[in-house]
Amino acid sequence: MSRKRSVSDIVVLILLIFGAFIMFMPYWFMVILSFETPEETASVPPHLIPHNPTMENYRKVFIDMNFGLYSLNTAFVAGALVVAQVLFCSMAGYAFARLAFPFRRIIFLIFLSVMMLPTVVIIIPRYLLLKNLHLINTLSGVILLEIFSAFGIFLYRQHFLSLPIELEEAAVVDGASVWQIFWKIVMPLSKNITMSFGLLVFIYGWNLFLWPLIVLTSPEKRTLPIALAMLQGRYFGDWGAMMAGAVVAAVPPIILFILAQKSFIRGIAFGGFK
Amino acid sequence: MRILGGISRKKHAMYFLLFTVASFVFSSLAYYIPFGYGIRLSLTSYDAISKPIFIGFDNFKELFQDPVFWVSTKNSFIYALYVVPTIVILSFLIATGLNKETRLIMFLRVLYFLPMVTSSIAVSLVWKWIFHRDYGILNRIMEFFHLPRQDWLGDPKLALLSVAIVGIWGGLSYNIILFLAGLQNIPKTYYEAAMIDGATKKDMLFYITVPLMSPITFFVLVTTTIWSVQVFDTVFIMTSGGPGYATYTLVYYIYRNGFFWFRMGYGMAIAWVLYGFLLILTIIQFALQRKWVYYE
Amino acid sequence: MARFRFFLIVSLVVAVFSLSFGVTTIRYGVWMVEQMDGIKAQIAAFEKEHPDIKVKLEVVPWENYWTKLQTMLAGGNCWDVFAMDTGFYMEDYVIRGAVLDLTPYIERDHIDLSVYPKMVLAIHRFNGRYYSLPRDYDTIALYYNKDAFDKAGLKYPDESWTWTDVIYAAEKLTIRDKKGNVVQWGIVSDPGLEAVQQVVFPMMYSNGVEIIGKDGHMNIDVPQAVAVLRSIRDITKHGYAPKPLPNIQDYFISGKAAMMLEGSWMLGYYDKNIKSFKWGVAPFPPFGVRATISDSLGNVIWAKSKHKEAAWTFVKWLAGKEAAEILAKTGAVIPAYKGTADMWVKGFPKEHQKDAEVFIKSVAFTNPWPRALGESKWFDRLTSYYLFEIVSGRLDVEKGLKMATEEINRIIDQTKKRYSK
Repeated sequence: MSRKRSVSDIVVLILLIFGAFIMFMPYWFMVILSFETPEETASVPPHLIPHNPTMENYRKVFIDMNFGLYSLNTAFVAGALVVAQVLFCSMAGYAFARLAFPFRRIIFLIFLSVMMLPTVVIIIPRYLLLKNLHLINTLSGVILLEIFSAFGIFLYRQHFLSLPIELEEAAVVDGASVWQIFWKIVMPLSKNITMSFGLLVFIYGWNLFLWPLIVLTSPEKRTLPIALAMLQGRYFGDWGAMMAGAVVAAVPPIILFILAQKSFIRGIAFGGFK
Repeated sequence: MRILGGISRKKHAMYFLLFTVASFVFSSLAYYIPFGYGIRLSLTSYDAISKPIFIGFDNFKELFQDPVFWVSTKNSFIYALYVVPTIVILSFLIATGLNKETRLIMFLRVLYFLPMVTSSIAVSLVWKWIFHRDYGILNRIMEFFHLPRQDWLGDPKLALLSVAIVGIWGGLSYNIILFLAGLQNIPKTYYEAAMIDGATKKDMLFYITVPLMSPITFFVLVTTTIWSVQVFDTVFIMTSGGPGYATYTLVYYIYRNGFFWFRMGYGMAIAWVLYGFLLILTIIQFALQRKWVYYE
Repeated sequence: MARFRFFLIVSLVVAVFSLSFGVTTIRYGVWMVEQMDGIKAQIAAFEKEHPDIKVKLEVVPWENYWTKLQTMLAGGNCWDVFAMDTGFYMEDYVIRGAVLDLTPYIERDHIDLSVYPKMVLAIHRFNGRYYSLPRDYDTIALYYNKDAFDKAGLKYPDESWTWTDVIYAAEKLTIRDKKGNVVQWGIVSDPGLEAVQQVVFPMMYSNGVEIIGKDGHMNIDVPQAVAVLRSIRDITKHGYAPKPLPNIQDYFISGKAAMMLEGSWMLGYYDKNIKSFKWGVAPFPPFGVRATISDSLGNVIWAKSKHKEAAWTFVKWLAGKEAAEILAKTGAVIPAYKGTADMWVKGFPKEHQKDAEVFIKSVAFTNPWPRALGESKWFDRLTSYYLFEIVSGRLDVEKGLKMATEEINRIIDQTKKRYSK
């Protein structure tokens, strides 16, 4: 019995390792191609490690193609989204968790209902709205319509409901205002959830594609995914440079993820459940 | 759910408004206003430069005779058929395998989770190279196993499947995490009790794990369906809808109409039909859940 | 904070300075990545002559150019001056009022239009008005890999070649390995033979097809057009040419194709980048009568530009002799200005000057790009569906062309109706 089990365990483990290998394979080629010369990227059969490693692709990407600037743009979009979403979602989440207001439940449901409306459905009117606000081709335009997150409000509300209300009520007795309670008591107790949520938002913002693709038009406003997409084309059939760009876009979220894996997973798991 | 005590009703209302005003503003900008505007827009012919012209339901009438619309619809659904069942089953199986806390497993988990945090554009570019007819690694592997080389992205019969493979690869991570979280919530005592009763591993899987995981499976099914019907990024990068219309999907067709052919009203009409499809799919799934989802 | 204040002061100072000196900055959008050196040199020369105008260059590759342009126009924030593929897309922008009518400026400044080849100038004229001035033009011809011809023991193509010779050579030049994989294609365009500008349209002209009739409708469901596409399909079917691919890739430059039907715009690029084999150019091999096709780029001004005068100054200069000479020297494209085409030829090394001349001489029998309303929509239908499917062998030639003609004419009529007011 026990021997049989360990055999099946080993089979499972081998399958898992094989799967992980497939999951990882694209990253492997992304990295090695980014160190290859144009001739080598076109070699048949492809090399599994670069024979003449070169930094030329990274030079191209950063010096000739401005990827430094694009990284900053991307970080700005992602960073601003984190700040705005954490701020507004936590506040709204608190209101729905603790504050009385006529039709509060219905308002909450109306907010949540946008989760049923994928943004691609309304992407054209969104674009036209932004046009009327004169925010086309601005990073603020990209950010503005991405600030609202029903998921975030929901997440924070659930979290606040799990906090002991007695603590807050004691503060009320001591004469603290709701504003003070929120910032001095509730938010300090919400570091974990804020960390998880902030991380999710950052990665979401970092990888945004379709929306900035149509909003941003001038080259100096591009974010990394847009800049990457623009690398394709007849005279840019330069796999090395494309892969170097891909590495630049892929690495920061991966580092963040590895550093804060637990928070990240907690965020997703929590949101996915209820 | 308890309301914060010791504060007047008026104060409650005041703070409620203060705390939610930003959400009211931003949700209106991002969702409610575009939603309303989108209804009007779909009834017009609008090229975004000259004035919109009201044309009633002409966009919708045209849409039903538009072969590209139907091809795109078909492609979106075939894509979902490739992707959804595969993701649900694979991510469930992988999650059960990863549901241990050994060092090796923890390391493997990181590899399985990576696609979720990586830009879909970066990923699509690499896959485009992997699928490349002449120097991609996949054809090299095919040759190694004495299989014929394929024109993965150039053959209309294979292109959508190739795009779907990338979709599966990229969509697994998120759902593995959901399943893992669910698995960790199943009390260990259930398994211990079953073991005492002499249940085999297979029994435990089918009589404990699967039923207890059914609510999460349902969630995964619904979200993955909605997500997969909206595929865009991989198509945009890897095939641009080609060869021919082999990988045109609804969202890609909306994008082409709205931002390439000056047809924003028409694009909006397609968007509403897409929305209709998504709602119908969700309703069907909710109707069917009674048959198989087990709630404690 | 201190640093922020510093930036603020600096930018204020810069703003004040530029106001006091009256420098106008105009944005210039182009897609021609391969001509970057020439364009940058043009801008530098222009700015030197016009210190009061600064030109900000913005490059978007062709694959994304038209989408980007559309979103910019819709967003009310567009380039002041931008490159326009006059043949393909101009009409759609003209009927939408997106580009400025230059006729009044041309008359005011007494621009001499006789310095441009007649046929090229015609591409820029819409109902008697000009929206752009000719920058360059192109023709199509046959590039061939001399090494591949030598190896196969074939004579190089020349002006005596017809389409029959091409088919014969393509067969001999197609090489397969033991497993049946093609190592070298006989003939390509980019990348299959379904390319409209480089293959289908010039061959149709050669066979006497009037692609767009006088009534503005498409006419490609005629027997002469069917014959052309049958031939193209058969070459592909026999495997002398690759099946259509969704993404462009250059088989000629990598030595994987012995012949290639391509435009003059590739000559400079190939001259610089092909090192591993010898190559040459022959006139477009006729299917019937001798023919090729021409398109011409122009620079247009955005109708809502706030700097129309500065933009016009720039556009005028770009259509002038000095700009043409700079363009000629870089070898990228054939400048339209009289006399500068020779400079373009001389800009190549001796061995390729003859090849360059082939393109210039082709002007004698060239045809203008066939133009009809709604082209940005029907062109995509024609290429990504009909020609793609026909050449791939999945759609019957006769049936496919008939369907294509019907659908395209429907799009033309719709567009006409929508913009009739």
